[in-house]
Amino acid sequence: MTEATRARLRDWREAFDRSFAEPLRRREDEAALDVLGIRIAGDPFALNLADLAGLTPAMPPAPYPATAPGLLGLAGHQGQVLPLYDLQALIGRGPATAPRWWAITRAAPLALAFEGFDGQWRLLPGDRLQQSDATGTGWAVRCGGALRPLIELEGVIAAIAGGQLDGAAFADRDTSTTTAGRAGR
Amino acid sequence: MWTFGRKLAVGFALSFALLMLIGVLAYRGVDVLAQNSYQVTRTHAAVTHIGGLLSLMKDAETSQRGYLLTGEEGYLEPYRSALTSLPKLISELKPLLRDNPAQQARFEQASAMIDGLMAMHKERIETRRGEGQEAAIRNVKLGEGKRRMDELRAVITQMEDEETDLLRERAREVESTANGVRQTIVWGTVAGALLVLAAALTLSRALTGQVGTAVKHVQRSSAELQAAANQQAAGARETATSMTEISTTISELLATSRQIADSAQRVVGIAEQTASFARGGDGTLQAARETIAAMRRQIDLVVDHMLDLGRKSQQIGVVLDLVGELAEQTNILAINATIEATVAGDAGRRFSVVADEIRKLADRMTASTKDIRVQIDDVRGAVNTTVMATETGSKAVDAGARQFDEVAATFGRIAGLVVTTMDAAREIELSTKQQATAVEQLNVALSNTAQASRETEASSGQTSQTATELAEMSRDLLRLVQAQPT
Repeated sequence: MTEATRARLRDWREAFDRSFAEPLRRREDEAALDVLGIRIAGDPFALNLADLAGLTPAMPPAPYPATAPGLLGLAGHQGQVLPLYDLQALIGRGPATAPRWWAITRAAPLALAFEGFDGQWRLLPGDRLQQSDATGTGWAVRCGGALRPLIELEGVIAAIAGGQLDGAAFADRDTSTTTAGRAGR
Repeated sequence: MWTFGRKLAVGFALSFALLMLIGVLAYRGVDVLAQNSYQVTRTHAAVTHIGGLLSLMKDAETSQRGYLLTGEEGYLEPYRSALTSLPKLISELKPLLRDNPAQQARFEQASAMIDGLMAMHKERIETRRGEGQEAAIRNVKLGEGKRRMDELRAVITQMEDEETDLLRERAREVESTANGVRQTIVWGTVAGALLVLAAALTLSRALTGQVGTAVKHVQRSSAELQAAANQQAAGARETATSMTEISTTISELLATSRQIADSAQRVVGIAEQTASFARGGDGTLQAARETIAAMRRQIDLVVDHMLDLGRKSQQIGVVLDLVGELAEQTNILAINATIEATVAGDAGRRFSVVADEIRKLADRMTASTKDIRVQIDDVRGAVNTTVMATETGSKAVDAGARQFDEVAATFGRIAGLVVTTMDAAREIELSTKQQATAVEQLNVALSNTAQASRETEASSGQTSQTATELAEMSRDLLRLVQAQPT
C-alpha cells in the first residue's frame, strides 16, 4: 500500500467521519442541484435528478408492436409497465446501439434508455452555466471539472406525448420550460 | 690340354712306377740271392757235418783200436768224445737234409751204420776190458769192423757228393739270379734316365710355354691388380671420408631424434595435463549442467508461481468485478435513494444526505476498484511480461543447456582426441627412441664401416705392394723360365 493510497484512505475516512460531525447545511442543500452524468453516443450529458423517478440497469425490453419513433418496447419498474424510449433517438442522435441504463421519468410514466452512466454529482448553483450549444437545453453543468449539456426531460416527454420526434424540432424548442431552467431561475 | 701340374704328376708317376718296378725286381733278385745263399750255407753246413761224422767215426775207431792194442783207458778219450758228440751232430744234420729225400734216406742209413759201428766198438771195448786183448783182436781180425766202416765211408761219400752237386747247382742259380738283378738295375737305370730326360724335356717345354704364358698373365694381372688396389684404396679413402661425414650427419640426426623424443615426451606430458584438465572441465561442465538444470527447475517454478499469480490476479479481477458490481449497484441504490429523497421533499432531505454519502462511498469504491483493476492489470501485465521473459530465459537456459551439452560433447571429443594425441605422441616418442637406437647402431655400423674402409685402404696399399712384388716375382719367374726378360 503506497503512501498516496494511505493518504486517500485517510481523507476518505476523515470525510466519512466529517459527514456525521458537520451540521446539516440546509440552505446550501436547498440550492444544490443533483445531476446524473450519462453518456450518449460517446458524448457526456447530464440529467436533472429531480426529473427522475428511478435509475436501473437495462434489461431486455418486452417487444411492443408499435411504430412510435424511439420506442424500444415495454419495461417493468417497481410493478409498473412503462414504455421504453431511446433517449439518443429522442434527442436526435439516431438509434442507440447498446443501451445499458434506464431512467424512469417522474413527470410521465415512461423509461428512457441510454448507453452510459458516469455518476451523480451534487452541484452548487455556480456549477450550472447557460450555454447556447446545439444540445437544445441551453444549460450545461460542470461535473468534475468538465461541462455537460443538461437534457431537459420535460420537453422530451412533451415531444413524445405530442408525437414530435424530430431531432431538429426538439433542438429548436424553448429551453426555458425545463425544470432545470425553472430551478435555475 | 694337359696342365703343367698334370704333366709334372704324370712324369713323377711314371718315374715312381719305374723306380718301384726296378726296386721290386731288385728286391726279388736279392731275395732269391739271399735264399740261395741260405741254401748254400746250409749245404756247406751239411757238408761240414757229414765230414764231422766221418771224422768222429774215424776218431772212435782209432781210439777203439788203440785201447784194444794197449788196454789203456787214455786211448778211449776220443771214443768217449765221439760218443758224446755224435748224437748232437746227427740231430743237427737231420734238419739240414730234410728237403732232400734221397739224402734223408742216406742219412737214415748212415745213422744206422753209425749206431751199429758204435755198438760194435763198445762191444770190442767191453770184450777187451772183460776178455782181454786176444779176444778182442780176434774179433778185429774177423774184418767186420773194416767192412762196416767202408760201407759207412761209401754212404758218406755219396752224401758228400750229393751235397757238392747241390752246391754247384745253387752256384749256378746264384749266378743266374745275380745276372738278372744286374740286368734289371742296368736297364732300369737306363729306362729311368730316359724317362727323366723325356720328362725334363716335356716339363721344360711346358715350363717355358704354359708357365711363361701364365707368368705373363700373372704379370698383367698383377698390374691390373695394382691398379685396382690403388683405385680401391682411393675409393676406400673416399668411403672413409664419406663415412665420417655420414657419421657426423647421423650424430646430428641422433641429436635431433633425441630432441624429437624429448619434445614428444613433453607433448605426452602436456597431453596428459590437457586430458586431466579436460576431465576436470568435464566435471565442471557436469556441475554447470546440473546448475543449469536446477536453474531450469527454478525457472519452471517461477513460471508456475507467475502463472499461479496470474490466475490469482484473474480471480482477484473476478472478485473485483463482483466488488465493482456491488459498488455500481450501491451507486444505483444511492442514486435511487437520492431520487426518492428528492421526491420526499423536506422529509427526505436528511435521507438525501445519507444517500449522498452512500453514493460517495460507492463512487470511492468504484474508483478504488478501478485503481485496483489498473494495478491488477499492471500486475497481470508484469506477470505476463515476467512469464514471457522467464520463458525466454527458460529457452535461453535450454539453449545454454544444449550449448553446454554441445560443449560437454566437444570436451569429450577433445578429451578423446587428447587421449589419441597422447597415444600418438607416446608412439612418436617410442618410435623416435627406437629410431635413435637404430641411428646409434647405424652410427656404430658406420664407424665400423669407416674403420673397415680405412683397413680396406691399408689392405689395398698392402695389396698394391703385394701386386708390385708379385709383378717383380713374375718377372723373375719369367726370367728364370725363359732365361730372357720380356
